[in-house]
Amino acid sequence: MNDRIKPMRQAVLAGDHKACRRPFPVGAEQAFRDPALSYSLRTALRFSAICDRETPVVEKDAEIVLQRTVIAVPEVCSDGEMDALRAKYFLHERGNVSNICPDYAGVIASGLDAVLSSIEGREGELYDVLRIEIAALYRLCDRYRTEARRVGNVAVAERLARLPREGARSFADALQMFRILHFSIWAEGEYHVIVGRLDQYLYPYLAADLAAGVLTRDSALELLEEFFVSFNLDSDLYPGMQQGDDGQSIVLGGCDAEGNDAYNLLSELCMTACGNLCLADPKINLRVSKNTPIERFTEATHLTAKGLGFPQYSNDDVVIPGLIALGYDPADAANYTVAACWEFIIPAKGMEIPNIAALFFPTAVHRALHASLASAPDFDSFLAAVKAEVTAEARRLTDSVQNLFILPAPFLSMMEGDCLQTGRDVSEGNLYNHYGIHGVGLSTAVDSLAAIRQFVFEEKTVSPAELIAAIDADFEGYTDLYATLRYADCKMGNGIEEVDELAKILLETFADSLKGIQNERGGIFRAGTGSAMFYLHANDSFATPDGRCAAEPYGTNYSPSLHVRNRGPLSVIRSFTLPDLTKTINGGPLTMEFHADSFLTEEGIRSVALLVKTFVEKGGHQLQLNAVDVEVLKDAQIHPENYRSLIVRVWGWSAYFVELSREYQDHVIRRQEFTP
Amino acid sequence: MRSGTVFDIKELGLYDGDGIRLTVFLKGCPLSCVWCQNPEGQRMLPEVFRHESRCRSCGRCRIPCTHPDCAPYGVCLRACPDRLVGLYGKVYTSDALADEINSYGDFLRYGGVTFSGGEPTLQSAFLREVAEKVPYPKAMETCAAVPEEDFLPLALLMDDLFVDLKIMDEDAHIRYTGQSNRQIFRNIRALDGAGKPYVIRVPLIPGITDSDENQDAIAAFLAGMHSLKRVELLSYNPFTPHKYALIGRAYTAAIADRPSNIRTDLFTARGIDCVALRLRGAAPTR
Repeated sequence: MNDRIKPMRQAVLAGDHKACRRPFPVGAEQAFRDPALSYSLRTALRFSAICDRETPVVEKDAEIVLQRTVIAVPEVCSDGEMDALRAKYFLHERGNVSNICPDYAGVIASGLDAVLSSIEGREGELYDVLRIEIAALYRLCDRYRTEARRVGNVAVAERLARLPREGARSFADALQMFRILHFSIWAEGEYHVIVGRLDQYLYPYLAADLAAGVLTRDSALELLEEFFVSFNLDSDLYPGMQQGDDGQSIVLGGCDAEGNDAYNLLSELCMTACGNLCLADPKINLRVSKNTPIERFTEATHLTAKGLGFPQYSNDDVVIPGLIALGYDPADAANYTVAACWEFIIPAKGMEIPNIAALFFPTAVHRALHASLASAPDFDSFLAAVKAEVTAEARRLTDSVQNLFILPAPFLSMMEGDCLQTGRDVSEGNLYNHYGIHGVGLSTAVDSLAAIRQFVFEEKTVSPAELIAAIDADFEGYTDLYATLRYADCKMGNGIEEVDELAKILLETFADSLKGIQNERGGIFRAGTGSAMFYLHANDSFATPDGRCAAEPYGTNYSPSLHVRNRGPLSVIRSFTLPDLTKTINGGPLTMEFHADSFLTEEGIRSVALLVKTFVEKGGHQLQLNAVDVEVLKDAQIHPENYRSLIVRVWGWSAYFVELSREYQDHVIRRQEFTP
Repeated sequence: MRSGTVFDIKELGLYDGDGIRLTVFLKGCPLSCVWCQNPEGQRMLPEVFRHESRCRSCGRCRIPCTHPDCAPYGVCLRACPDRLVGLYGKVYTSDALADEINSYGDFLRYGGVTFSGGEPTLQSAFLREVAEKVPYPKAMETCAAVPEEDFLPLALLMDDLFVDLKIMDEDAHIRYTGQSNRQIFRNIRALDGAGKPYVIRVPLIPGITDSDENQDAIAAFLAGMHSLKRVELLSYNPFTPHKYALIGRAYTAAIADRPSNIRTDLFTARGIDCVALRLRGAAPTR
């Protein structure tokens, strides 16, 4: 990070860029809220209204510009209209397209004039509204160009004389073009807009500039750092569950269509830039496999050591076969990317909703406990009842997703599949229209089953009636039983095969229950191991037979129960790589927290890097590591002003600790921390 | 087949050798250093621990039981619902310990097992049996205060050796560790004579081992050695001596309240490769 980038980073951490923000004028939304207009047209009018109210911000020494200054823009539907839509349709989250990875490369290369000429004379609503939106974007970029000239920024003025009308000619052009497109999609109303395989689609520009001597490695890194800072200019304005949940995830490395290692110089520069900046965005995912050299894991562990909570690893050896088994074209599977958190999606070809519902494993156990435990002659009979509950719940969830409606996304459609050729908005569907279902609280369910097996059926020290009574009383008056269950050894994460087998059974039951079920868009349902925010927000609340009280959260994603202290990180990896994870390929990582001191020396870094490599070799699908110091986190709760740049991994994304709400902060603090 | 006593097995120990380490802590130590952070490793026999601070005084552990394994301790080890009463020390046959270690094989091929303690050489014959059954890299952390026949043959089976050298002055050594250091010197010379590479570790305990004189004397002693790979100076981190309370003992060491005096220069001046490490805490308590 040089003397030009350092102040940019400081300014964004200090929030200086927020000074030029203005609220959207009250009443101006009437221009795009006319119920007589189509949603498409309203979306385009809203986009234009934002573009025309933006204040161009150009620093004299900037290379890449464009940031959101208009805040709190009303939706295209009034609240009443939205309620009516919800009553009539299944609306996912906010009703907009989300968790989607566009094909940036095409428009970066061609420019928007080429898009306009390709649709010239064509009739159809998508084309009509696209012309409106592109014109509005041109007006905004022209005003940016004027501002650049005014402040004497020749480079930006020159670039905006061509962009976004023409395609990118250089690496700097390509980064600026990306910024314009990414900005536009967010401004249109879509959210969790994924960056995707940036190191693949922008590498040709970098390679050409290096070959031509236009850039050196250092000047390319500087540009990239400035580009990455720009991801932090608007991220607080984007919708998400918490600050930081903004979906700006990049996927690096992995293989190309022929299966060759695709990690390149740009991948390496992205890692370096993130390590230098230590900002919450963009978030790095690293695709790895059994062939990934140890040096790359070591380099990535250096990033983890900085406490950023990324990279998140995904294992090509598991993910790609898993996707192919679900019916994805092998070339598409090889090109997978990661959605806002961890869901595996295909760039530019999907209108997938990988987080459409969540199955709670502890709920299935809870139902079986009451319905079948007393009458079950042996553990296997009880387990069969739990499996039946999982299947019933999976069916209920798939049945509940009917009559989906998504608000149109014309600008995004331009970069999705064959929408531009067919005139169909991507919100109506794409090549892949699959839905994903999270699997929440797996380890709590596994620990509960293991406890029931041991204490009710094997040792017979607890009767079914007593266990049910204790659960229903939230262990009130059952202190000894609570302690016996809570502090038992039979927990997932202790590397005990008989326990971990239960996880395998539950996951396979979940996946099998979804097999053959088609959604109304012709897609399938995918089973996953993610929890999203549901580890804190269960749909109902009850104590569980693993000695967990009703008020206690579940572990995040695919991780040990929150109150469990396992034998160590090797046992955790043994447990969590035992199931066949190709079957639950909607995603959801094992999350482990290591004390920051684990990374003090090169030896420590190397040990953790080898641990990640072993996780990959043993068939783990996804892994995220946090370098934390609980004492620091506790101090940050008391003195947030001293920890403005402290970053933690929450459930599928990194965020500034002090910007999280207290319950999410507390969950991170309560997680098991492995010490050196 | 021989049996031995282990008081902890730690996964991913750092500073215990190269790569992913599984560290096996063997129970029993000939020394009783006043600053010891693993007092539960000092005695050979298993001993009872009690977490008094979280005890609800339900009295269940005092109800006489018929479990044969509880008999020697006068307390039921299985009764506590909160798992606050238990044993430091688990007896393994060499087969059982080797099986436990080898079950981590997927990890150990990127690192290895490290025998620590307590003092592993106190269970030399047992560990030699174990070592022969473990096909992964092996390391040992030792205080070397045992007869040469217990030390050298076992040491030669290891891929990496970390030998502690604490105090050069014999009187001070006796005062702070309970034993003379003569045997330690003999063993280090024997190791060097055998041409076996080793690392010397010096714990820098403020006011006890970290004086300039002691560090210089250690450097002088090591100056002529041929197989010494390097010296590691371990700075001392204050710790909560809660483990002493768990086994009903008091922590009485008077350690100066200041950071360790680290003099890597005294070693490098004599041509010895020397690094300073900051060790954190001790083996976890179960």
